[in-house]
Amino acid sequence: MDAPLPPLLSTVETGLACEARGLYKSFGAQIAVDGLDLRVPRGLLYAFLGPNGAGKTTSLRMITGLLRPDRGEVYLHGHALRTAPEAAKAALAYIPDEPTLYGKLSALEYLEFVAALWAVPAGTAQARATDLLAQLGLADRVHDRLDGFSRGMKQKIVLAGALIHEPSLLLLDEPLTGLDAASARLVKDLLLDYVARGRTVILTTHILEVAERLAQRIGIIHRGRLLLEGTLEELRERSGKPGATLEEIFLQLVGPSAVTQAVP
Amino acid sequence: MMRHLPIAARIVRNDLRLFWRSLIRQKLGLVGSVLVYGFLFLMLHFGAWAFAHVFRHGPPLGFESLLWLLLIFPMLGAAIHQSVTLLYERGDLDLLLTSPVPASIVLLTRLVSITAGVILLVGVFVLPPLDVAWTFFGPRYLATYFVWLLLALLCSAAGIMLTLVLARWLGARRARILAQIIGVATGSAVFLFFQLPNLIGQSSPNSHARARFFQAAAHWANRPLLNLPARAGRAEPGPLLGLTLLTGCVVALSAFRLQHAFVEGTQAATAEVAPRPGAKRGRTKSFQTGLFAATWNKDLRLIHRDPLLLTRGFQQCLFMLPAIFVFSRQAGLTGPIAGATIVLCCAVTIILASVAASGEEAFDLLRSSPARPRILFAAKAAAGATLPFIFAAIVTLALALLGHPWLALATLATAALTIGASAWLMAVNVRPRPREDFFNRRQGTGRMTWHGWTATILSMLGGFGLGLAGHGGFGAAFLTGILLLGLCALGCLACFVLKPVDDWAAIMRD
Repeated sequence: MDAPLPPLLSTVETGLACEARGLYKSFGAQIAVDGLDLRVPRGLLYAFLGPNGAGKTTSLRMITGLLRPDRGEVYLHGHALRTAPEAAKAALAYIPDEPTLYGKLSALEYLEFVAALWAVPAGTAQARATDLLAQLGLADRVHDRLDGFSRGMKQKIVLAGALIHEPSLLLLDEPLTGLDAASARLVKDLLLDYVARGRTVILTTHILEVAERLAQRIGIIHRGRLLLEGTLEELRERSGKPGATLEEIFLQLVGPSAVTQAVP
Repeated sequence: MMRHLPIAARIVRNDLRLFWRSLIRQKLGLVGSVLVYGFLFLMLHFGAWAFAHVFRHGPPLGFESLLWLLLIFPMLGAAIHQSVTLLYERGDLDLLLTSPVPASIVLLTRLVSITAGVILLVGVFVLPPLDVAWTFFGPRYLATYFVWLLLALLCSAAGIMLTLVLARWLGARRARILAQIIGVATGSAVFLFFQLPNLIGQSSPNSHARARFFQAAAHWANRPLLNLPARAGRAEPGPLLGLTLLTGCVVALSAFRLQHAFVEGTQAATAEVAPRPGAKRGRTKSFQTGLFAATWNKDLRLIHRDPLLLTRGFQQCLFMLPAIFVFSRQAGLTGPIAGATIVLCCAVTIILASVAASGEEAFDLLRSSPARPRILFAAKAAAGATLPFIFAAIVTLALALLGHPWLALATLATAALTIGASAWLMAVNVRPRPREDFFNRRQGTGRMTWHGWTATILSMLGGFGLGLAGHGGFGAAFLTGILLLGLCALGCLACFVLKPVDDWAAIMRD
């Protein structure tokens, strides 16, 4: 029996794909995320930046429901993650920084299972799986077991798994890690095409040039707090550095000592 | 060579420290481990002392030879296990081989560490008879300690070579799995040997038949080459020298092979496996409809594609073999077969269902999906129960064809109940952990939970009940059997009714 869904919130009306209110998470004495407020409108690519240990992954894990926040609420397309997790997750896909796969399944078998998790009808799933694998250049490896795949190929399979139910919100943690130049280009094109079709992508990356070129909005987090958020132009304005690159703005905000001060 | 001795000693010390920690970090802890192993050590001394009185004028050479040969199996099993761990799983060879320490020294330390691991693993069982042998039968048996060390070295070198040869033939990844399977099988060989009299002497497995079996085995073992360790253990110079030379040759060959394999770079255990040329391409099957079917299908595939897991699972069940013979001594085969089927199926179900539910490789994927946990764990329980149920159905069919339809029906019903209850209990109670750590005691997974005990007791009740009821006749045994079956059925039903079903859901949320 499904739990009754809570009434849709203002996020639907305002067109927010994801809204986090006052997210707080600590691990013992270590504060990982400290009152994060995030509002990501639909239909754009949002880059979530920060130095190592700034709280990016913790934030994403709370947004996806993998980690329960100590305080705060997450709404995905208007559904509160805490009270209506199934409805909230139905339109969501998440790719962690180190995705785990079933090594002894073939690429196609993996996609079959993922599709079933999101209740995609079998026929539709099969057609989409074939298309996605062809699009990602893995059409000739569909029956090979995943434990024989390279890291980049595994990344592509995870991406295919994330896209198979055509989520309206895609969260990616360091999606370009381990990909060669051609594959990285392929993934970037795929994400841009995805956003062009009205869907939303939130990604974290350490490659600031990627964020600068792809993202419509950028958020910079440091020590668990969102320091700055907006379009690149807005970031330049607020940081008082017109014409600056994202890297300059980023380093000005987090400082060169960020690495040593970072929380895990 | 000498100037590298300190760093070599340091590497070996580090290996031994890691090995020691892997032994100690079990549920017993350091003090508990020392107490338990100490007690076991004392009891084995006592047992060896008592056994030594059987041979007033010293044990026959054939008997000694048999014991040495039997010792080789667990030592070889331990050597293969250690080789796989130190050469492929730990993954520190890249670090060591890129260090300024010469490759030959690094690889030599690996051989020493593997040997030390083998000695420590079997030492608690080997030392008591050796201690008793020289105190009881004279100081010439002091040579047995040296023979033991030689055999440990020999087995380690052989284990390394076997692992390397497999790596060359099959590729590192497949070789690692096959070597682990061989290690498990070799380790179980001694246990199987002692069960042989039961297996081959079903009609009259009394003490005379067993004695005759061991006499024949000792006679067989007393051959010129096979009795080399036994004669060396009696400090005969020729065999002692021969065994030392043989060990030296195998060790030298093994060191050469190690150097060749690792300097050539064929050690990459985690290397990608290229698709085999000409390998049969899979047929694209239609996707399964529905979450339950897809999950069940997926978990069943993962179970049957993991030969190491299956081997280890079945190895655990191997130790239940004696249960099969509990009834077979006074009665025919049908009752015991029915009873043993229940017990074995339940034991396998416990393992497979635990693997399916707790050894979930992509747990975050499940948690980030909107899939209902209840359906997921029901499918996982079903996947764990499928193979045991098929086995039970085959046995049932055989029993029916042999002219025991009622016993067959009772077996199928009891099997369905106990397998279902076992799968259910394990699937909804165990916490997810990395699949490769499933049999790793350091992760606390070797511990039997109360759910596992409940399932085992239920299957024992059902198995013994069937065994008694299947004897034939309607006497006290039959009634006891029916009573046990009834208790088993009630217990199984209680598992389904009383067990809260949202445990997994809670795990999924946290």
